[in-house]
This record gives sequence, structure tokens and C-alpha cells, in this order.
Amino acid sequence: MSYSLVCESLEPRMRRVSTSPLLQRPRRWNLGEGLGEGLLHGSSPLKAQEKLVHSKVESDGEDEGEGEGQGEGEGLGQGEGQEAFHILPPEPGRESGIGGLNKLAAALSSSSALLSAWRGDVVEDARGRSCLTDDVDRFGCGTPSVAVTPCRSCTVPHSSAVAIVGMLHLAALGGHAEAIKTLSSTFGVDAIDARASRMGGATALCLAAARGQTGERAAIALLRAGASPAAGLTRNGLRPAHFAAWCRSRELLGELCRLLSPTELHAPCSSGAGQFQHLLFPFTPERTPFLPSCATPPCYPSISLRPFRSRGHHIADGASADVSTTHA
Amino acid sequence: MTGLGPVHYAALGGSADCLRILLEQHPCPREELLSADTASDLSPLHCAALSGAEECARALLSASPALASARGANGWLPLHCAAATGNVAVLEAVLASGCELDAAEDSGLTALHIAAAAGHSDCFLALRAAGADTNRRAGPSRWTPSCFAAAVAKVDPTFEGVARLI
Repeated sequence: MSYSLVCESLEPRMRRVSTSPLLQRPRRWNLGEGLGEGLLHGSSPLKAQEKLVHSKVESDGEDEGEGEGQGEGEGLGQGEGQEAFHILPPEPGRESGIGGLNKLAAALSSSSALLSAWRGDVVEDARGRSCLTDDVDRFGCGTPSVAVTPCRSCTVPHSSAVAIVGMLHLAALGGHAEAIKTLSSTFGVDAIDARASRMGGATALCLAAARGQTGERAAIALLRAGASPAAGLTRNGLRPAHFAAWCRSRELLGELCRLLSPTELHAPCSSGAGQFQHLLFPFTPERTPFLPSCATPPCYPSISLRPFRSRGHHIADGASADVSTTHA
Repeated sequence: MTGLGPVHYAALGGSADCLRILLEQHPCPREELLSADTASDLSPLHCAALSGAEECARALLSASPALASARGANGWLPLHCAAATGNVAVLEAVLASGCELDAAEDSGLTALHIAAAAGHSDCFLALRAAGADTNRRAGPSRWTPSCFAAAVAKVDPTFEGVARLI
């Protein structure tokens, strides 16, 4: 029997604001809301943190939807067996810059220890299970530059480091505070600020913060274990404070306020309005085909319009009646 | 500033509590924090208008009423953003703070033009009730808000009633 493991989608973080049928936003607008529906063949959004569903899984071995440049959608990973794992993106979704989730999902299916970390039922014997697999590295959690003291039984130090990092990241992404405490107390603080190089350079704290209120306790546990509150994604500079503010994690934000100087707290990321183009600009030709090109309001911010052919309209008192034209 | 800060993200996420926490912690002159960002041309109030975060918009306007007149990319005011995205509550909050009703963005369009073009009847009606000019010609097409409303009404039945009012 093949099955899929689906992580929950959190509360929608951005509300749908358009009521006009002309400007219905694409599904991605409701970030997080209903993301599980497609995976579950039209069922209601998932409520449980982790849900096992039976489904047929294609076994072509290909990862889908991976985007190195942008945070991608849900991750789909398949391991050696018949298991397949879906990981839905952290709550800020595509705009967060956190990618690599499909690779991470693939890592889940290759390691029972990683799966335990993801489920939060880690790791009393984490030290003994740290010799996992070099595959974790290529699955996106690992960062070879991190110096982590390997466990005594680990014959391949690099594997040990990578595995610990992977477990931390997975426990953080799952929002498991107790697992975080266990891992950090077992292995020390060396690995806490390790970056998942294929996930936008996210630290475990970034991932926990990006899970919003589900990850809030885990994020605070990471901070108390010594995680750097100012370490952000290398991809776009988003830091835990951005995620906490974005995801309404009031308690975490208060903790960050306590740990950071005001200047550090308010330091901007490198992302600008372009990150939110799909939110900012309702007047794409696809959405307003009834407007002739010369009457289409400008973009916010300026982006180039793709060529389109509008339908002609005759407006009695309009200066541009019966227009049929093509955007340049 | 060179990018969006946590205050912007709190506004985008609609978190008024987080916004207040951040505003209390800010060390710089508040005007610097609240002004439109130079790289992204987004002020926090623009973000609140785009995400429909009414409570955040009110908190920001309470902290700095001048935000209502801060221009972003293409000369857009938060009023234009609220009109474009159909957030009538934010739009009314911005109007109540004294924003110029018929202020034009760079191509000359007013919020009423934009609300009409986007087909947001509630924003259109709110602006019209506030006294916005329905016959002002603007943009390359020299269309009035009435022209936009008529064009929208051809494809959106819900807008027909609005168009008839003009």
C-alpha cells in the first residue's frame, strides 16, 4: 500500500481582499488556505498537523515543483520504498524564499530518524542515530561548512553533521519544541545556526518562525538554546522578525524584541515590492480584458505587460471607443 | 532603508498587535520608519492597504497621519492601493485621515478611476459618496471614471447598478 504524508496548511495569512468577480485572485492568493485540497483530491483543508492518507503515488522518481530561485509549492518526495511525502510550504508560502521542500520530503522517506524528527518523536537516542546518510546533504538540509562535533559512533563526521542539521530543520519545520530541546541539548549549539543551503539558506529558527503560531514554541526553544535571532535567509534576507510579524507570532516577536537591539530588529530585508507583484497589481490583461490597452491603469509597481489582444468596446462618451489593440 | 522591514510584513500579514509591538521598539525617527521605502516604494500603509488590514491601517495612521499622503511607485497613494484591491474599510480610514480625495497618480488617474477599472463597486460608491469627481478625464485614454464604470458594467453584471448611478 502506498501512502502520502501531508503536513498541515496553517491559517491563511493574507485575507482575500477582492470581492469583484473580475479580479478573483489566483488560488495562491489565499496563502496556505486550502493548499492541501489539491493533494487530497478535493477534500477539505487539513486540520491535523500530520495526516496519513492513502493514495496512489506515481513512481517515476521525479521531484516536481522544485524551484531553486523561488520558494516553491508543496514538496513531493519519494524514497526507495513506496512511501511518498508531501510537505506543504511554510505559511508565507511562495514569497518566503524558502525552497527545497520536495528535496526535504525525499529525505524523509530515506531515513527513519529524519521522519522521527519531522514527527517530533525524536530522539532520545539521537546520538546513536546520527549516522544517517550522505543523501541528506543532497536532499537539501545539509551544509558541509557547518562544524558539528560528530557522535562517537559516527564514522563519517560529515554525515553526522548533515544529519543533525537535517533533524533540527525538520523538527523546527514541524514546530516540535521538545524535539528541539532534546536535539540542542544533545548536540550543543554548533548546529543550531546551520543553514539549509537548498532552502534559501534558512536556519532552523527561520523555518520555525515561518510556521507561524504552530512553530512559535519551537522558535522560542531555539532562541533559548542559543540560536541567532538575527540570522536570516541568504536568498532574500528575510529574518525571524519578518516571519514573526508576517505570521502574527506575537510571543516570538516579543522574544525577538528582547534579544535584538531596535536597529537589528527593524533591519530591512532585501526583498521589495516585486516580491508581491501578484498582490500589487490587479490590472493584468488577463484580469481586465475589457479594458483597452490605452485605458489600462499602470502597474504597481511598474512591470511589463505581456502582449494581449483586447476585445473591442464601444463606450458612448469614451475617447477610446471601439478599441481593439495590442499591448506592446 | 533598502527593503521591507518587519513593520511592512506586519502590515502585509494584518497583524495589528505585532505592528504595535514593533512601533514601540523603533529607535529611529518614526517618520523614517513610516515613509515609503526607497527600494520598494512601499510604505507600511501601502502594505496595509494592499492586504486589507484595516486595524493595521488605523494603527499606522494614528502613529503618523502623514502616511496617508505618502506616495509610492508610480505616484500611488495608499488610497489608490485600497481602491485597486477593493479594501473599502482601509479606503475609508485613509479618507478619514484627510487624504486628498481626487489625488492623481503619475498618469493622472484618481482612486475613483482605479476603483471603477477594477470593478470594486463598494469602493467606487464610497469614493463617490465622499464627493469624488466622476467626470475627470485622465490617463492616455482620457477616460473618465464613468467610462471605466460603463466598460466594467458590460462584463460584470454586479457593476451595472453602479454605472446607472452615474
